[in-house]
Amino acid sequence: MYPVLFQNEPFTIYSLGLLLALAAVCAAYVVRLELKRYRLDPELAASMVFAAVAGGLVGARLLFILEEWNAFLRSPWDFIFSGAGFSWYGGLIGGIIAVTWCVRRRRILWLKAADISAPALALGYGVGRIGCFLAGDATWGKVTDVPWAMAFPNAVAGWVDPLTGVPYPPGAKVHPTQIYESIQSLIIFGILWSLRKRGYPNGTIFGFI
Amino acid sequence: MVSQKKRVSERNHFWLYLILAGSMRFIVEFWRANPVMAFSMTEYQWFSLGLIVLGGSYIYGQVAERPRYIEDEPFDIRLKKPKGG
Repeated sequence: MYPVLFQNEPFTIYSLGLLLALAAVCAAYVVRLELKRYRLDPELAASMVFAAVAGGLVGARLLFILEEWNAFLRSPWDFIFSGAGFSWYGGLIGGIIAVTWCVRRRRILWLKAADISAPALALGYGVGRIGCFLAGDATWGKVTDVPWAMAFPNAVAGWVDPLTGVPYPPGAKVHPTQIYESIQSLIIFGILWSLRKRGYPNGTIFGFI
Repeated sequence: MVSQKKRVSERNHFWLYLILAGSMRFIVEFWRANPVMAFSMTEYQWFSLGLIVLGGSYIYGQVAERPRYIEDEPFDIRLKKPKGG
């Protein structure tokens, strides 16, 4: 699709980087609103999102290395610094660990922080997946002939089958699953955001702990 | 009186997120090009199943342990002032 949105030497704006940054900004804004509503320091939003991004990237990379362990053993340093290959669930686990560390230092209950983070996580994921779609990072789906099927000839990951590494034949189209996931995640955000407006008991939201 | 349903929906955003995100990823994996790991399911579908079970069991456990709400609590609990200093 459009891996590079803008290029004017020496500046290049990559769609994936821009959308990931936008996802972080959106998440930080939502976390800030939630922190305010919980009468917590809204400035903590930046720290929480930074921790989530850093922990998420490390976790996503680590799980990907575990998934591709044999390839990693063959050439570990090249593998680590290649800049490609992240696993979403590794990112989720890494992000949770990092945010836990961040909020425990401020003596905020973990479950409260988790509730605060949940809508932001859904929104950030939804926006970030648009970046995957624009960049073409091999997170597309199987070959199909549905009317909305798409091809990604300019994909940063190369227009090859992610399972076999074999280039797709001319005219092949795939499910744009990045868009499916983006829409799904934005719907989840809408659900969580609408539930949030029903109100919470003051100071006793996690009274069951 | 606030219903049990309302109570559950209000206090479990994170666990609800795990269930919803896990369910949606589980479904989208049918169109993703990921290798099957075991029992015709991909690695991500197993992870998704784990998230759904984790979130579901937490919410279910909360409902089972605390099946009733405080009877005399006013509906608009947001208006209640916090007790103590």
